[in-house]
Amino acid sequence: MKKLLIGAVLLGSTSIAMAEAPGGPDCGWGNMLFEGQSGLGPHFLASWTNGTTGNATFGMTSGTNGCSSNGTLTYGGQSLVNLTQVMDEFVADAAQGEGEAMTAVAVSMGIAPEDRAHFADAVHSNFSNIFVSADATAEDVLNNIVSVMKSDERLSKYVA
Amino acid sequence: MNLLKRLAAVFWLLSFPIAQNSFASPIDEINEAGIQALSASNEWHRLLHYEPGFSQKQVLSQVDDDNFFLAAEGKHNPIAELKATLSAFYLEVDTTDPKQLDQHALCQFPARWTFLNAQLTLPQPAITQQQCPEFNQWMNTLQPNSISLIFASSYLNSPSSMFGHTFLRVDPANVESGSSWLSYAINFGAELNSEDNSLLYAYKGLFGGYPGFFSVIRYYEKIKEYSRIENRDLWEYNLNLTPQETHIMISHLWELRDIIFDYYFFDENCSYRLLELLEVARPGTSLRDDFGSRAIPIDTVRAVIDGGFVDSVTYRPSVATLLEHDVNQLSDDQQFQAWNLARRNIQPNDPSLTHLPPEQRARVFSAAYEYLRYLELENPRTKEMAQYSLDLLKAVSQLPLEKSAPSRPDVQPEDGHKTLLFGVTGGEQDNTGFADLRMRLSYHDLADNREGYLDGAAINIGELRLRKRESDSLQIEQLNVVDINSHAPRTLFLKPITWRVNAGLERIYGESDDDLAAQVHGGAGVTYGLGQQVLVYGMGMARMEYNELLDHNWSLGLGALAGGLIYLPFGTLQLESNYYQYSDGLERYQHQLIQNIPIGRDNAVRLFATHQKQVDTRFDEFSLEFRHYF
Repeated sequence: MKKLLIGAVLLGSTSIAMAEAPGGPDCGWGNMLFEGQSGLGPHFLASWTNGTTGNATFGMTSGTNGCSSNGTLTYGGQSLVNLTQVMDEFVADAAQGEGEAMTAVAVSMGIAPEDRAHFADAVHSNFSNIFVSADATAEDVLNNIVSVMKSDERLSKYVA
Repeated sequence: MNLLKRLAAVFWLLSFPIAQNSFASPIDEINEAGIQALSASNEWHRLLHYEPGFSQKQVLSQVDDDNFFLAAEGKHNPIAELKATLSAFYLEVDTTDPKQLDQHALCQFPARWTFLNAQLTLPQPAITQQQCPEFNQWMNTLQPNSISLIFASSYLNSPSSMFGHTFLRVDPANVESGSSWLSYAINFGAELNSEDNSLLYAYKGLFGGYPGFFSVIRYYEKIKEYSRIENRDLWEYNLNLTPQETHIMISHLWELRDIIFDYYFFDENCSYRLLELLEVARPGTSLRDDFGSRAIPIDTVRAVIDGGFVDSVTYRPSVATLLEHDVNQLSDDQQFQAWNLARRNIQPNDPSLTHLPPEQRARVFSAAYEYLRYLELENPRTKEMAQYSLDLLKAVSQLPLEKSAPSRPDVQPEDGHKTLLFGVTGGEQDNTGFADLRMRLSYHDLADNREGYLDGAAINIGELRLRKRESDSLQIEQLNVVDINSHAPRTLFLKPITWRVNAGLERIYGESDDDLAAQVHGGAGVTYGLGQQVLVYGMGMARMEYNELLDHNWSLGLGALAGGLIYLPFGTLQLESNYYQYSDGLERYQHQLIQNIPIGRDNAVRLFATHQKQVDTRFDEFSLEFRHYF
């Protein structure tokens, strides 16, 4: 068995650097993505046990990535998407005008199926007003979306 | 919680004789024979995770956590556990105290209640399940209606991921297109200790040093984890469980929250535990029969398909797959422009870009942005790059961007060859005939049947080759404890390193003697693709060997290796040469040709031709092998 482990040694005996969102007060788009993983070691080994660090979660909490939970979308009833966690995908969808992150955010905000394409268009055409700068926080982005919706005839009812 | 439960159990044990004397307990009316029969039922055994124990009559639960059992001997006594469960349902509780309600057996073990109540038509306990605060809140969050089994396939440059991973997704009734992002993923994994180094990590993963838990998180977090961070395509097998079956399964999952199972890499792993959940959902079906000692995720997917659970399959390409696809939509010039744009060698307002038609400019900008995201996996994003990324997206938002989706691979992962291998070889080594037997526990080598596997990625764990030579008795020719080959091709955009690691025993032939040498070797280099059907590679290598044929026994070799994989219409051809210079002054080299010819999915014929020099002898070897995957 010792020989099997030699393989692991060759791949570097760094301690496991798991991907995690750097939290803290500043969870803007500029620094919300996890720090880069280094080398093959962590990647190789994380695959062994499909493990995670930190407490086992059971779907009971939201916004536990260390960012302030202010970025959590709460329109429409339940506690929903944590915008900080899908910001990268969402901003790309916004630039294109459609996508799964866009749909998820729309569903989260309680936007009816027939208004979702319109919501996507509104976010798309107001891209520069919503995503003002790279160090904006999820909360800023959410506030900007809400202002866009408020001034939109079809969408204002969702943020009244 | 543990202490409370124990106290409750003690209280119950003390009070039981008194209760029996004063007034009849509800469970007294159930006859002993009925309880015996029920405790031996398939359903009860699955709910408690009982497996055959050391002797025929004994059973042992695979749950390694006292909190899961209401009877002190519950881990190995289904009758006692059933009786204790029944009694616990009838404990009185202060219904105004949510904490007490949550602690009540009816709220802790809702699936047990559903099952026992259906079988025994029990009298109503002091509370109903509708009064369980946490359980109901949780059910409301998940809104379980249907289940998908998700398979995370292998990804470039990390062959250890080739074993794949599975988890479940639970969808609400009204899941709509695109909103499965908001569904919940059910994952079974080990709880890692971030201070452990990788050596300990691998060891504990194999031998059960880590506690395994179920966790429930948003599906989009899983998409990010696998599709973006690890670049693994996801296959979603949408199951045909009814809402009732789904409800039972999720109720049982609730019973397993914070409950510890020891995690074992090979058998009691992520995939095995999911099969157990599916068996709870559908007690008439057995899924785990073939997974006593080894549960490779893709094999468990096959079992679920064969068990008639799968309705439809959805393919979700990884971010790297999307990047590759989007880049391939560009002309060579545009690919270079996108690369330069991402590298900031040219500005967004460069004339070469502004001259492009808007649709094409959108695709170049978009590819550059995707490439930046991909690069961030290795290097943390700087403030400057974040702003630059946003600028690119702003440009995209003002252009018409039409993206196509990558097409789904022709062969689904479950349609690849099976993962155990048995081989019989006949051959000749310098005019001496030999016969080999090969047994491999897992998984796939570079020349194995190609369909359903990633080109240039190979991992083998536990491969034994026995040889009978005309002049010798049967002996070990080779034992690969671990053998990993990662030959991900480099492109303009993706620059993976090619690497290999191999550790095991190998018979080395000298002039008059031979020795089963212990060796470990590995190396790093590069692989390039020439079209879709050829990979060529070169690597620097090092090898450490303990060999009693040598003067000093220990020897260190440094060398180089070059080779190619050619995917011919009738099978994979591998050509490879290596050369090593050893610390004892000797040189060794090997030239090898391997031609694999698949016969259907699970059989192959393989031709080997080798010319090599080992220690002080040169010799040639030719052989023909029949390989069967099962």
